[in-house]
Amino acid sequence: MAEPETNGNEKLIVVDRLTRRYGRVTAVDDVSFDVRAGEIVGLLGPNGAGKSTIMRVLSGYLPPTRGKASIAGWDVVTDSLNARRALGYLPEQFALYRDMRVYDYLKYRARLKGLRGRKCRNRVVEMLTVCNLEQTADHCIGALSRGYWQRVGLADTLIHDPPVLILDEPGLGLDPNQLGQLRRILTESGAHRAVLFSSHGLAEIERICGRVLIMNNGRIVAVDTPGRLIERWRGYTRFMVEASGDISAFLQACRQIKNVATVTVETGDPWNRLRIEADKDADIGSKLFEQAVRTGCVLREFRREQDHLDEVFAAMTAPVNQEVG
Amino acid sequence: MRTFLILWARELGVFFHAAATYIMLAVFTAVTGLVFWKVTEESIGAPFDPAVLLFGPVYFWLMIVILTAVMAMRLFAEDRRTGILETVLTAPVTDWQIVLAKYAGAMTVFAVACLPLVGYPLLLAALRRATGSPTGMQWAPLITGFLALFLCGAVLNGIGILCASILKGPVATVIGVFVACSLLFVIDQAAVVTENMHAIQTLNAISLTPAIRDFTRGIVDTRPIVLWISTTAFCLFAAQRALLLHRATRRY
Repeated sequence: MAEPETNGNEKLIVVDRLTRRYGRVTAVDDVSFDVRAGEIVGLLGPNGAGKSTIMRVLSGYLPPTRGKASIAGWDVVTDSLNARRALGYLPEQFALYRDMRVYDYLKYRARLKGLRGRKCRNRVVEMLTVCNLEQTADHCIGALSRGYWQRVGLADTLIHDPPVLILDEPGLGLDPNQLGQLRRILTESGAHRAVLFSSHGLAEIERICGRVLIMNNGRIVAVDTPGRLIERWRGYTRFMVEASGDISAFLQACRQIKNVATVTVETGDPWNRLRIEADKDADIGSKLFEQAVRTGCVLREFRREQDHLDEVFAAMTAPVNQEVG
Repeated sequence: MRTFLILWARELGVFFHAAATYIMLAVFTAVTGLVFWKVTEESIGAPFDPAVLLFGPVYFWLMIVILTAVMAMRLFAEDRRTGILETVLTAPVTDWQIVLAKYAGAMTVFAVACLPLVGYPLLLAALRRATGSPTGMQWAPLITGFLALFLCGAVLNGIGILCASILKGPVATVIGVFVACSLLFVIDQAAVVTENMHAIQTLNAISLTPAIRDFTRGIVDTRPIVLWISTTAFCLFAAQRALLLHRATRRY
């Protein structure tokens, strides 16, 4: 898994002991983290964990109840206008003017964000290309599909070339091809920016992000690279084996290997599927192979199962919370 | 200033891209024209006073109140409903720029709606001239009448934007603006329940009706002008504060 990329080590997003309450409900509780230039950080958490609230506070839309947050060094409360100038923000429920054409909308937003004249026009054309919107530039936004709306939103977010991007569920409503394009745009644009984005697509987060923040009940319960989080939370090593032959002898031999915890089998004719779980970090692969040869079993498949971020996510955000680091 | 102009142009785009706006303008023009024609017909033989004919009827001001209420519905309520408000508030623009641009947009539509009214007395004067009747046009009351219309429009649209920024839905906004603006026209009628001179004077000063009556007679009193401008400024200030409050108390 990719390590955090850093270009210049400048902290472009800083959240310091941030708390946000809605009446009596604490949506974000004493949260601190930072995102450096060149870093793409994924914000994960179940619905209601506080992800969107943090993003709304960072965007200047909501004031924090307590604590501080800054964008590119500008405080989001006291220097809100400068902070918003340095920020490209895509809200979760991104709304657009349905009566406008895509080109006109992007031009309007570019002008609102300070671009003028030829630079403004060039940038709009560039964003239409980057976000694959050239064919729909003259289309009325109201007539576009959800996927195109997201792309228009993304183009709007990038149009003033901000050093900080905050994207709340940018993949919502996109098909797999569009998700691939989004991944490409984020990876390319994130090279010199600080990017914070939330998603329920854990595979996307795992692929794109150098670092992941997992939130639950308004607090951060884990911060690390996806790879290290998986390592930390994996409780066992699992092998999947498909074999035929004297399965009962092979099963017996497997159970006697040191560190093997459980062996389960789904019998079939002639291929049987075995699931072998051993202690965390136990390297039993070669021993399993040896036993298969010794008992005369023929192997069709032999693989070590990789854990994914979704298992870590499920473990950390289960109803009974396990709070860590 | 530049940002304000961009936002203002967008507000005009929102108004003039909607078919509802043209329907609203057509109905307003038709009803005010009908009222003017009816009142003019009924006043045959009476002294010719186009300012009173135009600005005198209660139905004319009722249409102005309805126009303001319907326009207010499109100010913040629609933006809140669609989620556009979050997109706008997270752009590098100030709350003041947003409020002033919306207000300027509403005032522009109001001015466009009222523009045909200028033609009514002119048309009447031309017809009188064509039929050989003495025109007897008194231009001063007409000009002061239009001044009163513009200033009242400023106040009513100010109330409109305030209600729109406070009330949640479009229907609540329409009802709120209609009630608040109607009250401003009839509040002087409450004087009948009191004999206290101060109360009567205060109610008369607050109410739009006595001041409009003066303006349509060609009398320009600076007191209502100051009051109307102050009221408008207060409404805009309160609308800006309501936007801040909207951010602070937003619930999800």
